[in-house]
Amino acid sequence: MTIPPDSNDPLDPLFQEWRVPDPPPDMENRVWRRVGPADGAGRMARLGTWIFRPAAAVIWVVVGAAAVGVMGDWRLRQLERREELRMALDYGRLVDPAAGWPAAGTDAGARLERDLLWLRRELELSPEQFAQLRSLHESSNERLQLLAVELAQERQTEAHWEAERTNTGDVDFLSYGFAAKGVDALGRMSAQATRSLIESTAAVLDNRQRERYLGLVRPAGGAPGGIKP
Amino acid sequence: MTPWARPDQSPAHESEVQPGGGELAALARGDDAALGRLIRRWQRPLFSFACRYLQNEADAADMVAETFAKLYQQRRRISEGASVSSWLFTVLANRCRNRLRWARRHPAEPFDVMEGRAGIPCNQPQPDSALRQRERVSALQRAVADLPHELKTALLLHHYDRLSYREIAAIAGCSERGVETRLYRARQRLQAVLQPQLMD
Repeated sequence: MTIPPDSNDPLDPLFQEWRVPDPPPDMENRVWRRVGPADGAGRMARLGTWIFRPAAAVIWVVVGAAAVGVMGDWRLRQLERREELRMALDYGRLVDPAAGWPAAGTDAGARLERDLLWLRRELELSPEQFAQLRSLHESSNERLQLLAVELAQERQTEAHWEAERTNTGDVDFLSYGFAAKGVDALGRMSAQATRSLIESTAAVLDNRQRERYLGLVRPAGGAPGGIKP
Repeated sequence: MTPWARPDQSPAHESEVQPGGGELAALARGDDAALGRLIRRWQRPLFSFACRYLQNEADAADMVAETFAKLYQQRRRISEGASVSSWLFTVLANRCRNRLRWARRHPAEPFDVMEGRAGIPCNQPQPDSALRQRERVSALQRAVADLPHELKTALLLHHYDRLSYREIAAIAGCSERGVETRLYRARQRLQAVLQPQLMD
């Protein structure tokens, strides 16, 4: 129902004199500006319309290429980092064989050679430094391996007595004690030998190399406390 | 300048053919262009209502834009078959009332008051007559501004937007009889205040 103006109302002529301007011409833009921050669905809808415009296609391609580049670079870095960790772990096994890690598949000589070459690349060693480190590692490697083997044997003995004690409730505590002391003594000797090798290696390096070296050794557990770069 | 904001002068007034329902459904379906069509259809009556209610063009434009923004945000919640005009005027009237309340709590020098601007045709030949008309309109504006929200809303919707009692009742949340009463009381108040101007 549309009601006509009250024809007899004396106010009518006065009402007609009150005029108002037209609405602003940019009302639609004003509305969308308000909708934009608040309405996710509408924003997505307009974004959907926008991304299919030809001008946006160029931006899309550029952004896509940049994203691929960034992803590729990130992936490469990730692989490098993984390889670095693997090599650091490997080197950790070399300097601390008693830590109980499984032995690498390759023979000890080849493994030593590979780890030293990796160290040379990572630390940018001079030929003199490389020669010194090779000598240091070769001389200590045999003793470290021997200690590791003895420690493993002693641990096995200790485990045997522990199993005996658990299963039968009866054990030769004297033998068990000797085994435990042996594990403890060999562990300390092995740790001392590892520490000595790392300290000797660090002494050959300059400050920058030393910092890098200790950073590499630490994740592998090869840097006993007390060694400062 | 629009002498009267009359939606019934446009091709289709909602009370007769219910335009806007289809646009609202299209909007709810994700056709954002429907909002543009609704804005073009309803901005003039809404803006004229807000202008007269707030008597400030900038605030009126803000309130209208916010009303349409809310329509868009609520597009999926508005029930099918709802009257778009009733929904828009209801929201706008409430926003105008809140805006006025806020303005009263935060008084500031108005930079865009309409008082004294309106009602002067560009080709007015007689300055005295123009001045008298300006004074009459200013008095009317002051009188309308002093009306309480319920009376003001009913008066503006009836006299300027030409809405029916039923539509005004839906907007104001009262009965048609209540609308009639409000209009009567509003006119009584205006007549009392504007007696000198009516005698002029």
